[in-house]
Amino acid sequence: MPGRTLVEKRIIMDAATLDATLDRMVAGLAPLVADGKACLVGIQTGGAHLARRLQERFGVRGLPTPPLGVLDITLYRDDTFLGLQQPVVRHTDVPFEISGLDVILVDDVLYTGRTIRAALDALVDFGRPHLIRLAVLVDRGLREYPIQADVVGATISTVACETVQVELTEMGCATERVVIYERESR
Amino acid sequence: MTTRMNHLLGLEGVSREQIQTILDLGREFKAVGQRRIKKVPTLRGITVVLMFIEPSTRTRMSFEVAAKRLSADTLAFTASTSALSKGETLLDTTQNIMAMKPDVIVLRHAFSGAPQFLARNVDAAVVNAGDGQHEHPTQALLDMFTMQEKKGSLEGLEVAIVGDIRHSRVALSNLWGLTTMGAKVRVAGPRTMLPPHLDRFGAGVRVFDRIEPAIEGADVVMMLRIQKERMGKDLFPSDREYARFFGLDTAKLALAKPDAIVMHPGPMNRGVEITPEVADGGRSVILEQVENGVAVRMAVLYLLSAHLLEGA
Amino acid sequence: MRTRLANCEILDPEKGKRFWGYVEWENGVITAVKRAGPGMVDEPEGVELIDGRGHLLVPSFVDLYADFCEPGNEHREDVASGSAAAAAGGYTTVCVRPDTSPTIDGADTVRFVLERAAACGKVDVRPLGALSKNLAGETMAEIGEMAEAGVPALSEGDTYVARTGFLRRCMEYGTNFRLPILLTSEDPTLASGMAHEGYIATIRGLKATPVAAEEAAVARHVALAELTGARTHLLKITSAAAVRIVKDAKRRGLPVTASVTAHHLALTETSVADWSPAAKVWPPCRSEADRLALLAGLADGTIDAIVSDHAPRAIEDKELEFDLAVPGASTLELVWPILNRLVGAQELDLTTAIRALTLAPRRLLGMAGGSVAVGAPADLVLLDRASSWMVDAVSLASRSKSSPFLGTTFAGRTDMTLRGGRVTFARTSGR
Repeated sequence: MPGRTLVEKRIIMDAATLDATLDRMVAGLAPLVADGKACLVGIQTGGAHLARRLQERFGVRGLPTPPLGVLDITLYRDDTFLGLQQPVVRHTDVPFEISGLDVILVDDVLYTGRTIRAALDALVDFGRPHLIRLAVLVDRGLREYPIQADVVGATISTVACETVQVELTEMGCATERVVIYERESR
Repeated sequence: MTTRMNHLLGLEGVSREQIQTILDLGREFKAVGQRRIKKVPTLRGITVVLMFIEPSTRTRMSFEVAAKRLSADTLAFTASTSALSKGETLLDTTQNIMAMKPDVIVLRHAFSGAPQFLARNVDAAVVNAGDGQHEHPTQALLDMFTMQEKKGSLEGLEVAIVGDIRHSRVALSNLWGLTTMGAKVRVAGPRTMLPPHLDRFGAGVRVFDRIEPAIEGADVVMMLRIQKERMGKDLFPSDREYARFFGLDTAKLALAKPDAIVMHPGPMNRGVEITPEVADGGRSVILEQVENGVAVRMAVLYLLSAHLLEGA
Repeated sequence: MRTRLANCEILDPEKGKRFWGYVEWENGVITAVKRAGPGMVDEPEGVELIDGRGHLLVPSFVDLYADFCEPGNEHREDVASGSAAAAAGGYTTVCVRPDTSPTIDGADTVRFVLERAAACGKVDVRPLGALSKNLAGETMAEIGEMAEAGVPALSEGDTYVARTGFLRRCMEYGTNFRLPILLTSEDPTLASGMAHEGYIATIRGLKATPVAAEEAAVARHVALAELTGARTHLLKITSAAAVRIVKDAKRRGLPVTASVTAHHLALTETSVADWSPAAKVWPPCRSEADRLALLAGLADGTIDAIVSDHAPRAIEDKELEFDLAVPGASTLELVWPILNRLVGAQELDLTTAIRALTLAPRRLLGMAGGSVAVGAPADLVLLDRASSWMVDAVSLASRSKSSPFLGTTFAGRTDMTLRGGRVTFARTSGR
């Protein structure tokens, strides 16, 4: 954020906890994936990385590997573009027909619910899923839309001036963890 | 991230980063056009006016599809230039259109400088869809998009542009854009169709008066349309002579690299600047240029209007 | 009634002298020119005193070519408003173009313009007589009758005489009446548009005209001057090529003279780089090399005079796309500020500039004066060389406010113009 610095406040998960949480989520999603009619769609960018990791673990457990798609929701957002900079539209690739499938929508942090609302609109433009389930690593509360996740890694309580970031090696972070930062306003 | 774009009046002075942003965005928008539902709700509530003072079906349709795929509302306004010069001035016409509160005006005009004139006098984002002999930036952007898609990178790419450079705004925009992106351009045509001072575009541009040395070793061969309706006479003696010495046929194309692509902004004069065999042949990407045009124009409309969606 | 103008720096272009002093006149004729220190020292009895305020005093300017648009286009300018602009610009004599509506191609239109000028009284307005009836280039106009009615010279205005043979005949006939011919030079078949064919036109997509269009026409006119012996003046040349041809013609002793506009000495093709209709003038401003050649030509005498080419245009003429805008600019009041700036930038010598505005045009028209000397007419102008001012609609007296210099700040402007000893323009009242 221009003009603001982030101050580290609390570490919610370290690398080991993150790993264990993903395992728990996989266990929670196993029934959905078992009959081979599911697919994973990760929301760019954190959700996409996590969706990829979940996909790998299904395979390791001997479950059917659901196909993986990534979705960028920039073109479906309803909120502000936050300033004068051009928002970056990342890659969207859903290389399979989602109609009739059980879509597991994956995101890293569930907050106001607006991102999920946009993702649902985008998914519906791709086809008519049989059902959509939402899996998130962290639910930080403060919902503005009536949206809830079906599988949650961790539920925490936050305030608006805080930001929750999931730091993964895929993003270039050295240590994997989930951190709460406080936005120090100027 | 790049600084906000207020208008797209030409490619002169547009930075490498800005051009690359448009091309990258174009990729995502091309993907939208390949889905079942070729639409995203991004520009809902945005009004795009298509002011085509100089008529054009293809470019207008391309912009119209681009706007509609972004869920924007479109208004088409067409008038012949003569009607305007008889009574209502461009300024008057524009003020009438401004009453409808457009967010973006896409202008095609027979006189160069008209989009700049509009941009100075209206409170909307202006896109130049071709002004006289000056620029046609979205055409050059879609040309570069096509080249980048097929060849990977524009840096160091050998591009030959052949034809009526003097009267071609497509050529001029491509010269600006390609030299900015680091491509090497060869230009060829009858001397009557080559404007002076092309060497001022820098070391990246070489001028030839025969097509063969220009095409030799090229990665891309772009043929320009001989615009019979736009120019006066005395530029070349006959179609036959033009086709023989400056037209692209299979034999001349063999001088280019074996995997060179053939481009044309359209519409083509088959048999004059390009033979049907080459136009419909395996190296031609002419039809893809049209598809890419919609994607690139979506990217441009998006970049110009995004800031208008900032929350109340 | 004797009048003394003191506290000024006098520049006499004829003798090339420059000194502080005062000038006296009576009944419109200069009676004394004396050196003195700056300041209003003496206060003799019975003499009307004018304070020169330390400004430069030179003979008044004479213009060979301006458009007062009357009859026919009074919405742009008329003889009265044009005279006001001319007086404000330091001019006491202005030759006006014959390409009005109707054309000045007969004694009656000549007399009409002279009457309008007399009614206004500020400026000695002299209508130029057209070469052909209605400027059609087909039948010769009544040149003899126009000469009798008082035209100082002949001109076809901004129109190019298509038939070279016809031009020859007109020039020959003009010699019977001792009238010089003022010609503009551009071959219309070489001209595609109103910009200079160069780099700027290429990258801005402007329809353009190459130097060759002027060069070919100038060469043609020089050849006819040689053939007919007519005194031929090449108006508002713009290129190094034209300067070269004129220099050669003079070297060979041909009766050829030339003029240049102030704006062509200051501007180049870059002035239209933003498609500004206000900068659209004809002929177009060319390359920097051409501009420097014009300055050099003025310095070495190849170019004799500076001409205003005052071409007033109404708002509706200019509020259009560049291609459709009518070319022309309001220039009379900007000639001195532009030249003063060039002198300040050391691109032009002051005495050369003054000579080109005062002495040379008078000689071309066979007029007396052009010097600050005893016996010369009291046609003078006081030039402020320092006051800073901005060009805007309010500061221009012409009906037309269109100029490439709108919004420009200049140092220097005319302060007072005197014709026959009477003040026709004063920048500040009560003097």
